[in-house]
Amino acid sequence: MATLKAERSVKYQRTTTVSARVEAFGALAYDHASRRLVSLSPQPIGEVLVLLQQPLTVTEITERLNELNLDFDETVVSKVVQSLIAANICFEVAANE
Amino acid sequence: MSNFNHLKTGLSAPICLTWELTYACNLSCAHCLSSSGRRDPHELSTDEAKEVIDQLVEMNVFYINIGGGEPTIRSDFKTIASYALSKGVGVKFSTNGSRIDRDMAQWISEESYLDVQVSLDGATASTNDEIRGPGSFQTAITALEVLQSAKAPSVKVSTVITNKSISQLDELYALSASYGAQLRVTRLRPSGRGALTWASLKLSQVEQEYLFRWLSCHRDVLTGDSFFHLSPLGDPLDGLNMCGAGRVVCLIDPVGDVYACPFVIHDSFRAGNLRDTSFMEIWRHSKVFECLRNETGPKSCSTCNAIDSCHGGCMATKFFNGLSFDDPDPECVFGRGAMTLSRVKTSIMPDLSRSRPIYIRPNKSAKNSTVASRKI
Repeated sequence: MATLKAERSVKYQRTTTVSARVEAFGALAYDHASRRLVSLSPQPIGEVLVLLQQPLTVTEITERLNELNLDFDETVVSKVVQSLIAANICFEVAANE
Repeated sequence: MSNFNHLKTGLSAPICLTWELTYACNLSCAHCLSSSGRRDPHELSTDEAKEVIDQLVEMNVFYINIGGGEPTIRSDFKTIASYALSKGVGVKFSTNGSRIDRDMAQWISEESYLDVQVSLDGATASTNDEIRGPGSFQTAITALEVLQSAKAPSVKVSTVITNKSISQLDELYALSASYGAQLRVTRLRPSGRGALTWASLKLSQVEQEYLFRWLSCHRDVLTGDSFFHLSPLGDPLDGLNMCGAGRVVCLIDPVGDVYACPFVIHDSFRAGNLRDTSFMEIWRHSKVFECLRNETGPKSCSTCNAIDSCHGGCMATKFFNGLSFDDPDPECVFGRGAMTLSRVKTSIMPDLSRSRPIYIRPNKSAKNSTVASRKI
């Protein structure tokens, strides 16, 4: 229970050298540092990437998506965030108990 | 990334775009795609250029390729490039090296998102200067030396590959590496003054096959996604491997006209002007771009097994050779384009009216000298 609570308080943010935008198929991200272009799909990966300009928890991201009428649960959003971390496009900011 | 289906109908904004800042140039290269030489008196002002950058920022264009002409001839070149960089838009610029002095090199070395591409069309002075003009090889080499001394982190040597330089690829690769630069090889198109020289400088079929094999073995060499027409020869080279004109890229010329790509500066591909219409409006709603995004590929290639790898090739190379979109690429690896080309009676000429080079005064603080050119 404590672990779950800790995971929920972890904030994520887009890597500062990455620019990103939503496209019909998902998202495009460009890392200025490595000059690398990455294509990502499907929805809501683009919307998540745009939201992560500021540090947010999975719960906060899910709430923001819901405000945009995008109905995704935290499990889906968490998977999206993990895929972005794997692609070196976002990172874990901090974990607070 | 291989997302032909994602990209063929166009993105919400270009990934990058080419911006020819000026038609002014002190060289008169035989293949210049913009037929540069004299400055156009109606070129965008500094304030107008900044407004354009603001629009690109709004659309989240990732980076711009600044060219010309010789962009560093503009006295506000650094102002414009710095403005883009300050807004988070990456800048890559092409130069013949004439204006790369210590100050410029120092500035380049201090900017993280700034790349410089020094043009060299051969590994020797005789090969390069035959295409780019007397003294241009030494000017480029001196610029590379200055950039290396300043420890500029992202320098490229940019080569338009021709039948004069194809045998020097290994030397070009080694030369680039010796200055800490990455080699970039691009395709010769019959655009601009290239329309006059394409037939005599283009690669033969055997040379195309050699180039493809060479690039396949040198994956660290950049290609600007030029050679997707060679994809049927084997595993595709890195890149989008499709024509990105009006879908992924476009061009802004010095007077604010927007074209589908850098190789089609012609009224047929002019999508609008930034003095009349916003970039977003042109990109998303121009008839020219809509037409390109609805293209389904050349009809004459529809029965070819390789259509899914070359997608019919380069439309600029077709257009300026007098072919239609429905024809194969003139350099089709199966020779279909060459056969079609033999039936063409007339080809379309680009505007060559600005083609005489300007004279630029040598910069006394520069280590390098300025190449000779005529005064107008």
